[in-house]
Amino acid sequence: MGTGRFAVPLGIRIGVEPAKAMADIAQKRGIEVYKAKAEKLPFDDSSFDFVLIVVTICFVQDPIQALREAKRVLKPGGYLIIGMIDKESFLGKLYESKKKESKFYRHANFYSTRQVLDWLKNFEFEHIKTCQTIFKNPKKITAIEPVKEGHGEGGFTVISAQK
Amino acid sequence: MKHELMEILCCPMCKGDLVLTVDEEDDKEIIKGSLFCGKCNEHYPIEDGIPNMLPPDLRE
Repeated sequence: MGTGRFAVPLGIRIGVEPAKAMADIAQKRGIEVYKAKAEKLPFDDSSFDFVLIVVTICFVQDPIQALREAKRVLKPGGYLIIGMIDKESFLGKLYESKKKESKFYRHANFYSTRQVLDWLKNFEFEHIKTCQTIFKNPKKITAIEPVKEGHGEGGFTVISAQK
Repeated sequence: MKHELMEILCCPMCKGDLVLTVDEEDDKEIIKGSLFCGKCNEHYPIEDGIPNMLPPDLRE
């Protein structure tokens, strides 16, 4: 979850973060945080109504195992929400080209929305929906970007999938 | 860490139940203590209110 920057405005109360410095900040922001990895969650089966994985799938070592764990801890009928930079989009290509210069993104492995959707289908998630935003270079954005259904045009995809 | 979260907490490796030991707590949460998995014979420390649920080989 990093520092909880996205979790707090989205109303997420519980999260995992393996790095102490980040976990400490998330805790100060009021999140119930556990030092743990997405691939080895310390939560019982069927514990959560929602699992949020935002700008994280590119940083985990084993995204398939992270999705398997996300499904395990979801209650039946619960939703997994993934927010990600689409590797095949202009934004994915921009991040990919600048990745070596960035302290954080040099460790990133970006994936295409299509790839993540395939994984979700293999795990038999249902009612999979996508929406997208960020249609131009972030440096040129001056107002909140629109949100459109589907994926393939925007640099940032949000996927909703039901267990 | 809040007491009520014990309900959903499990060992990250075997997913079995954990036994909580509290060394220090305030009116809201557990500040220091440990979580023990009998099956894996593994202790997960709670420090500064944050349980360290990383498998032993991944700890800092």
